[in-house]
Amino acid sequence: MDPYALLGVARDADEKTIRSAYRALAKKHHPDLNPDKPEAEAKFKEISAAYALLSDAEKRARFDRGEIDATGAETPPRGPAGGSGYYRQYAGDPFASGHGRYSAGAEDFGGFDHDDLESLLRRAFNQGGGAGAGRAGGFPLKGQDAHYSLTVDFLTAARGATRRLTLPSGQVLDVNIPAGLKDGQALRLAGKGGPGVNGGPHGDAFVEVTVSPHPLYRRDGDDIIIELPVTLKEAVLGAKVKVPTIHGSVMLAIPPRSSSGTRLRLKGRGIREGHQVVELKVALPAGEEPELAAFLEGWTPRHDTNPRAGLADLDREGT
Amino acid sequence: MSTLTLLTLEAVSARFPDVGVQEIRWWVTQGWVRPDGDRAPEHADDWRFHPVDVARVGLIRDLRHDMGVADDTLPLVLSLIDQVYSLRAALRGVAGVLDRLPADVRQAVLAITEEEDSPGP
Repeated sequence: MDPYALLGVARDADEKTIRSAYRALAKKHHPDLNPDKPEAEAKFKEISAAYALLSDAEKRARFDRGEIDATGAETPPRGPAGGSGYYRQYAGDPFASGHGRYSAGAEDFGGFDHDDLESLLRRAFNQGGGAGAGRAGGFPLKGQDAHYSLTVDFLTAARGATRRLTLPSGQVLDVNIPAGLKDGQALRLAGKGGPGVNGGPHGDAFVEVTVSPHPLYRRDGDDIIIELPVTLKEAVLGAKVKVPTIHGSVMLAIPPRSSSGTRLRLKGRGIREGHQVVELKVALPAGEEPELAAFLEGWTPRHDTNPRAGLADLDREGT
Repeated sequence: MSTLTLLTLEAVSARFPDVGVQEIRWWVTQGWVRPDGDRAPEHADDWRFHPVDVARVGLIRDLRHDMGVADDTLPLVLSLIDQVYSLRAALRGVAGVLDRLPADVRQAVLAITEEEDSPGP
């Protein structure tokens, strides 16, 4: 290929003419300025080689005399082995190492990512197809979802209630907490998110609820469990005692001869259809009881069963 | 996946016969090239250049030497090139999203695109 023809200059063109012709072509054909034209790289190499030849007075003279051909001044291949080494090869490759460090605004925002894409699309849709689309407004678009968190106490979550949530915007949201809400559960408030665009519906609000524990009540599904201390006398003789439930206090009959760990059920006193389970715990008198001690010294039980009888068997099983 | 070779400043300079260490150091402190490491000039020995950084050096070399872009214009040119590549990435992202739409929706998108392409009244 004739380097003069490649650069589009006369054979007697001066150095300056050749340089400006080369620069004009380089600006046009540089691969990095033509990322979509694979042929630009070959073209740029050709004109580079042509310029390398013609810009060197000695080589140009030898070429003019026919001593070397146009490829005699081929510049060494550029970049790492296996690649052209041009910038476009890396700048457009999301898997290249260091990708994104030269994205527009990368120094400030860390490059282009999927969130940017989402906001780009939202903006595009909100503008109704872009300037000059000639449409009045865009298509209806649902508003963005909002996410909030709320902490409620155990009883509120168990019984259900309405809680008022004041949003950062000053807007007030009444959150209906259904009975039996579990810790970490999210409530969806349809239409309470961001406003829709072009007549689109509002987004939804999602409220993640944290339930704080209660010192007395525990929960097992819809059943409420409490531990109820009873005196030795109540456990032996039986009694009627007042027991708190999440729906208020009720009287509970403790049958005679109730051991520690006995579970009594208060039907329908749990969450929704659940029950309240009362686990008895026998509490001995706090101070000294010499009469009781004296009685036990001289006492022989009529049913002298060993409460630890089963333990020996279990112990052997383990060995 | 081949292992990645990161180059030092000296090694990068050696790849471009007409680009000196001084020049590249200046480009890095200007933020035109962004190797790994603290980009203050006194840490130049610790800089590590990824292939993309080496290619960037090549691009700046071409802009200055081959295309006669002046140093005071170079940031503008680089910034425009970066924006073009970012926009291309964004467009690829959009194309990727469109590609995951159901066939009839993609068809509808194409139909609207053709409408918009046709010369208006």
